[in-house]
Amino acid sequence: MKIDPKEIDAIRELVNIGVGKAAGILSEMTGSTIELQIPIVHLYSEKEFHQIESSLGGERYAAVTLNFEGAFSGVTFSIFPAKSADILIAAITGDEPDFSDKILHLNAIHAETLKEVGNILINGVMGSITNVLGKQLLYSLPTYSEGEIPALIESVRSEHREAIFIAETRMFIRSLDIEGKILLIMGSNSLEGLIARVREISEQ
Amino acid sequence: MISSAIQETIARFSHALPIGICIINSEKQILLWNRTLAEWSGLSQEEVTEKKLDELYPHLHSISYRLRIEQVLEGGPPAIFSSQLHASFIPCQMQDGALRVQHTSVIRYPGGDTNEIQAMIIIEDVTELDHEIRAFRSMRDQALAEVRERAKAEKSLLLTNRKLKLLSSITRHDILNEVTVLLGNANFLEETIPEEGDERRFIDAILHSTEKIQKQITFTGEYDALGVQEPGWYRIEDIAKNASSILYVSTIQLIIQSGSLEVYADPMFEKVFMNIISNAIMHGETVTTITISWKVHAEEAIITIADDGIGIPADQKAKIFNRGYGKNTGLGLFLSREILDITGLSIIEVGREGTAFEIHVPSDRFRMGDTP
Repeated sequence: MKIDPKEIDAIRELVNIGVGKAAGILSEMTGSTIELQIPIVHLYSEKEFHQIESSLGGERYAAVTLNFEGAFSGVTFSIFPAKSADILIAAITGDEPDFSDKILHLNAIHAETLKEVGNILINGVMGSITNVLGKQLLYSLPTYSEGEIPALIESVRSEHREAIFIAETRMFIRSLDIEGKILLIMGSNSLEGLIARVREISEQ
Repeated sequence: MISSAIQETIARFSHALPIGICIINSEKQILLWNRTLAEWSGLSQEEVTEKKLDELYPHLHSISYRLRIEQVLEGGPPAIFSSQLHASFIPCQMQDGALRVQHTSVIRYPGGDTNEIQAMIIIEDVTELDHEIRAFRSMRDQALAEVRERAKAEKSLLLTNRKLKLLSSITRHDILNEVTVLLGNANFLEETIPEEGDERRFIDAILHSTEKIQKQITFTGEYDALGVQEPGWYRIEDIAKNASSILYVSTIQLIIQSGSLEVYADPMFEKVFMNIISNAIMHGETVTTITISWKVHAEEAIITIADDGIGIPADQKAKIFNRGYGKNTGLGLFLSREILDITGLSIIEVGREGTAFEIHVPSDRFRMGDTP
């Protein structure tokens, strides 16, 4: 499917609105101003999946997953590299950061905290997208896992694994720089539906 | 629309669950309040039915709750409220007065009225898990603080050690200067006095003692680095070969077992081998062969340095590692034992015919290295 850069830009705007809402909620919740940078969005087709690992690196990520089904089906991941996950937890809970660059030390409570932050980010983005689509979707409960990017992508059902939007953003909490990414993995029908709707709106 | 019989079944089922369940409609009015939640909150289903959840619990008006619950009620994705970022979703006091720690999920409830989206609030009690993790974290923080303190103490010990080393080196240098002057003058004096008589005996005693002091001071200088540098892994075969370089007596054959055994020891480890080989050459009298071998057992490795000389008399075996005991400085075996002790190794003498020193290495202090 041929996608116009303007349409990618429109999707970036949708993600940005969602991420902005998430920042507002996170700021209120933590009592600290949380700024989220305007995301950089890339679209990868199934043939280009192998490029994702080289662009995101082979490290392990802390990932929050949300499956959705309906007119638009797929999986959204909110992922944090180990160091960022560590700083994020420390920034919002006041716990001492580990700085080990490993995520194995995360305990159940830390994982639960990350799950909530990821959940807020994902819901912000999914809220924007479903508003545009005007369709209601069925969602699973968010789950927390740790893994490398290829393993996360592989965990998605093959029919929902035909295109990936990767939105990279940075979160700033009390001058701490936290890196986070949102991966929106979907089937080609879902992608076409989303692009068609975006096209429709921009032509109005 | 789900039949009232099914609704009734769902309600009964929810009452049997050990988690708190509440169903609200789009106006946030409570439709279901299960038994567990009633027990935790002290409010019965009858007391709360049709009441607005955020009026009963006003903290739910805040953005971090309100917007997210409303998103679910608009058909959006589930919302998770973790225990660390929120006070209890539904504050529930326990018998000891503390609040129950909760992990809450708010999901769209597909049952009920099809014309209206309802939300199900699922509350898990994670109080025990939270306490256990906090206790574990407190233990971890304490352990980390202790490690930091220990690192600080080690740093300061290292500094003190360096200062002592410097002081000892200066003192040794000054003593040796004075001893040289003393020996020089005693030698001059020796030439001026007759061969026989008390003066000769006195000057010989002075010379003998002064030379002994000189030897001892020089010898301790060689052990200056004892315990100063970090221990490391040393390959026995290499150490034995290096130490054997002092073996200048061509009539003595040296046999070294080859293999990749490595031992965690002080950097002066080689000195132990040099000492034992040197003792064999100097005091073994009939030594023709020195053998360095080792055996690995489940709990320890044993390195043996044996010779076929005259051996050590049985009544002296226990004393040879004492400071000052021996025919030379009396420090060699004493310091050898100290070098080994730094990393928990020990040494004994077990020879029956000839001398045989056994170095015992605990299991966490040896390994098989890479074969070259």
